[in-house]
Amino acid sequence: MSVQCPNCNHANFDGALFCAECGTKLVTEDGLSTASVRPTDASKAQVSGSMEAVAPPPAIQTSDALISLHVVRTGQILPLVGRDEFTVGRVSEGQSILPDIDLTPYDAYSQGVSRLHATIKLSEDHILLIDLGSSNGTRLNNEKLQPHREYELRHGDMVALGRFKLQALVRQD
Amino acid sequence: MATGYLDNFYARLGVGKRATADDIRHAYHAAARRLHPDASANPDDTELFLQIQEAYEILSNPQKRQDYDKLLPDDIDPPADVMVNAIYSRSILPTMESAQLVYVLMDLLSRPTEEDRKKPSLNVCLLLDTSTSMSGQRLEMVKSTATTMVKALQPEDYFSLITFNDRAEVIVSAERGVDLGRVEARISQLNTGGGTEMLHGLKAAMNEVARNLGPSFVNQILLVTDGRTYGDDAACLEVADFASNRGITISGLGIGHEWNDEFLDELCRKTGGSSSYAARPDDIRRLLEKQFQNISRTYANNVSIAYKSSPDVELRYAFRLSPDPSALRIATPVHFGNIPLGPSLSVLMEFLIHRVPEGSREITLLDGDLNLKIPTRKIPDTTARVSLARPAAKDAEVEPPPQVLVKAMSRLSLYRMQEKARQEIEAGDIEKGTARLNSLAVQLLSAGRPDLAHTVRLELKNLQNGNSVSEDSKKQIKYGTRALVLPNGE
Repeated sequence: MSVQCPNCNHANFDGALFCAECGTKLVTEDGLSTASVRPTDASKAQVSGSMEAVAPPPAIQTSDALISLHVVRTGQILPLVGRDEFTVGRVSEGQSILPDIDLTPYDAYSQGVSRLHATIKLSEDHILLIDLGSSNGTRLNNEKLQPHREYELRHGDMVALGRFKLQALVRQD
Repeated sequence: MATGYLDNFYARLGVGKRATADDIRHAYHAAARRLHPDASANPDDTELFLQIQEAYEILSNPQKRQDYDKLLPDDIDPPADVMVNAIYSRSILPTMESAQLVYVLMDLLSRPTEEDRKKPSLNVCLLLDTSTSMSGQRLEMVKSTATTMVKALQPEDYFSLITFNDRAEVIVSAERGVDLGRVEARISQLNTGGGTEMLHGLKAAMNEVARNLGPSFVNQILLVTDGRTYGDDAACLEVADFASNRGITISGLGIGHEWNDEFLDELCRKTGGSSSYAARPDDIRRLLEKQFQNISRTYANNVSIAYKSSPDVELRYAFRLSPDPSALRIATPVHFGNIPLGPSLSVLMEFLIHRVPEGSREITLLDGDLNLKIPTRKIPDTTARVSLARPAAKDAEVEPPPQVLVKAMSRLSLYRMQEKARQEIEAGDIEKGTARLNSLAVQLLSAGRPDLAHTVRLELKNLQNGNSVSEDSKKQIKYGTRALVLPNGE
């Protein structure tokens, strides 16, 4: 497999970043700009206890969304509102289909989140989690999911997209 | 997750595996003070900081640290004095029978104790070409810079001064606490005459440095020349090998356009040093002072990696991005040069992997020993095992490479084009060389360097008229593109 330079047609080795012949850039770099990580200031947001253990979910929820995602590493809460199906992933340059929930600002790339990693579906009485054939896989409470199959998601469940940990928070009423 | 030798969370923080929670916190805070985006002007430091932060988040949590420790090989023990960090262009290698390239950006960062913060003791020899062509402004400039340098010496430093033309002369033999007045008088009496026979000079300089040679010093020869040495090139390179084995670094400054930059580069690179180019006498002071400053701001020196690769993996190219940008010599050991007290020693490596067979779980890019010396320590010599490896998987999704790596490569790609064009032209492949120079001119324009693009275009005209490239332009293009490697220019 080789990478053809759009400028001079030189066949470069797979993995080349710049054309060996004419110096044209051959890759779109990772969309994660370091600036976007700064505001979350993960250094200050300490997470207590083990990531693997299911921590008790925060009692108070500020949003009235039926379901929210708790970014374990930084403590952010992402409410899922406005539709009944959400794709989760990260945005990178030159990507045509964008995820509904973009985890880029939380260092998703280095944690192994694919661009379109998983879907969360809300139905009448269920919330469903589906892995979209991601490269690093999805785990639900530490169990690996088969891609493209539906799994039920409950309040307090831990979801790992690659190494990226999310906790499902479902409004209890 | 980073779990290799010298590619793990402990190495990122520069602490040993048995480090206490306090050690880890101190290491993290010290790194944060230097690398945090609010503290550092260098945007690349932010990426480095994030990597160190990731390590801290795991190691500062006892449970996570315990889980992580289980992943590490048993015999791993990173040195507790250097922070090592590797960023890869591919996080997972797809299995394939055809070749693929992987880039690794390796940063080595000092982790000084209070004691290390003071300047290391120097054992330095200034080796000056005093052939006829040096007369006038060149020599005057060198003389005045040498005087400044002597004034900046610390009482524990050894300093010597040798001149060479047809023969070598010891002007100041290696001594401590130099008598400033006497040395200044001797410098002011320097005269020019004769040719450039470098071998005599190099040998004499080696002698002076060897007198006080020791791991507690930064042992260094600063060579200043403006001419070509004839007939003794091979012997000079042998002296460089000898110097390298004894931990002596040679760095060179070439003045004007007559000197042979490829030879001087090879001579210096063998020892982990590098060459620089003073186009005009005005540049001499700035460049020589910078070289002197580089050695007096050393935290660790003689940094090298002795390695072996598997038959399927080839280290094709290595370039030191900072401090002091220079292509490195591909041989084992690879000499990296110095880790400065402040910024990191940053090296970009290109690996060609001939095949990743189906069923592979991991590919080792490099496995070997990192050796370095911290002159201010009681036991300066440090060795640690280093291994760079990546997991492999069938149909692995190829992620876009990290931005910091693409940026570094983009700054480096112009220098590499220049290098290749030069090789092609020297090999007689004018057509290929001119095509490449044309592309280089275009890239230089878009990089905001119309001056260098213009120089390249002049050379193209020269070549098209059947003339050879002028030595002057060759050097301007080479050192000009090399300076582009630094984020803020040289």
